[in-house]
Amino acid sequence: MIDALITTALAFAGIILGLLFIMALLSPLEAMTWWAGWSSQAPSPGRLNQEARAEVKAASEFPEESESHPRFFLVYLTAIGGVSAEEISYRERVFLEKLQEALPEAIIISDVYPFSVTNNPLTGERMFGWLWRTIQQKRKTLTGGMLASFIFARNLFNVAVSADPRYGPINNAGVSREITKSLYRHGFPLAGDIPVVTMGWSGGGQIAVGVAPFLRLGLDAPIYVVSIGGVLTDDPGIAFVKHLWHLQGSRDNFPLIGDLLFPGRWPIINNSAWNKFKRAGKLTRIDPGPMTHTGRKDYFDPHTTLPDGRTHVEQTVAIIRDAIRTIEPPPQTSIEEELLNLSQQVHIG
Amino acid sequence: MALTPELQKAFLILLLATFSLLIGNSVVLFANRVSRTQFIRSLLAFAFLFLLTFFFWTLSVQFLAGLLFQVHKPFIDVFIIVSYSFTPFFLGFLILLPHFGHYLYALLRVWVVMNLITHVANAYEFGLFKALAVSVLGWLLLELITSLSFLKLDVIKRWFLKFTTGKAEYRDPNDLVLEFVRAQRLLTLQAVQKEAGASDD
Repeated sequence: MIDALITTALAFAGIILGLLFIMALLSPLEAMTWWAGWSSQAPSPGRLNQEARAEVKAASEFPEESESHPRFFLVYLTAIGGVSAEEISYRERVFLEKLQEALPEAIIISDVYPFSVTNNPLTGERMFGWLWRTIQQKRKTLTGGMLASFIFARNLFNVAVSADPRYGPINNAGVSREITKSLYRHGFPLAGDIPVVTMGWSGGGQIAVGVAPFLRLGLDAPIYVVSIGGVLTDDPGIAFVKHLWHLQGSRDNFPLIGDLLFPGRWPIINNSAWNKFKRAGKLTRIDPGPMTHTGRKDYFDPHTTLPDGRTHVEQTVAIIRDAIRTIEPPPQTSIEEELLNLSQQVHIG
Repeated sequence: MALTPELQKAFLILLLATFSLLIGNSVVLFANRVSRTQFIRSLLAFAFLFLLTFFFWTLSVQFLAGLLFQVHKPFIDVFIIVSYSFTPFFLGFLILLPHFGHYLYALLRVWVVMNLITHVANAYEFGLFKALAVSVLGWLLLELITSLSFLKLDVIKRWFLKFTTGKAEYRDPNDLVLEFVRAQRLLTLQAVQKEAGASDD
């Protein structure tokens, strides 16, 4: 009887591990087939221009309430538990609302799903969309909660894809393309250079750094990163970040994954992009207090209070507000100057 | 030539190792935006080049053992020795894994070289240094030949790439993407400028 139970348990564990292994092996396919044009029409540089202009037009038909001249654009990228940009948790929503109140001079965007190159939610039109929808619907139940581990695993593998030098540039270019389109939808000037802050929670932290080179060159805007318990890898894209603020609660050990698994993060690899960035004084580590990575007592908890009486979410918002307000506006470049610069570097055709 | 069980096994190892490595290296081809036909052709080309390297290594082991230590073995025997050392490449498909695949590939190659040294030492009854010389010198020779510019191997390589993938060269994904993003920006600005010019008129 016990033997049979052990055998069944082992077989079950084997199946789960096998499935995770297959998921890991197939994880680069979404980004790579998109880039090659196998899964949809291959992206072309000209098409972003058309799509962006169409989106600007569509957005202007439904003007959002916003400052006419925002000082910053802030793009929020959810954590690996997310299935779409729309279905973020209640705590994240509260956090974003409070951050918007604290930073009225910023436009906060949260409609980009960081784990898809086409901003296609897990629950959207995709081969296994039905499976993710089922898991998402049952997430609050015990079985659904266990199955939700597959969502974490799928998105964690996507973070690894983003950090891999073979797949990362393509994956990150896809996500940055979606961020660019969202920025234009929210009023980012087509020829402007307002500072953009990418803010990622957990695995979203790596994506926030990974997209930096492509946003920097694609928008001609200075890029800043806020990492909330972010799993930061040794992505060379960090060289394009002007400053990074990394919040890590004293009860959050999850970001250590990045410290351990990515050699470029190790202090002995003196010449890595990460270590150069650190030496340049562009990294600010902030301990916001005894916060955990996720769940109760995490960075967005609106109930748990710190000794000074502030809730976790209030503390997180205050830190981010103060950090972002140190950003100086960039010197303006004219379209002519930028065009001249670009035309020397780019050969289309 | 009799297809002995050892030789059959050697062929099977070579076939599986090639196939597994093909899977492992396949996805990076997408970076250069190859079509489905070019993708298949590229994989076949990769298999051809891999087998060419294998045969060169086999010949070099046979040649060096004879030249340096006067021990002569028939080509078929050396073929079997070298193919057996390629068994770690069965795990070549793991190269696909994000992040870890990158390091696994390096590990697999080191493992194959160490395997070859062991097999050569056993088959030729060599000590460590003799086995090391015979196994590694062939590989160094291959590296040397492929880097000699007067052999014009670059021209052949480019022709081969053009033939299989339709591309003149393989580009680093990061360079490709950065160029793409700059082009996006250029086209957007040109359109904005054109529109501003039209409204001024």
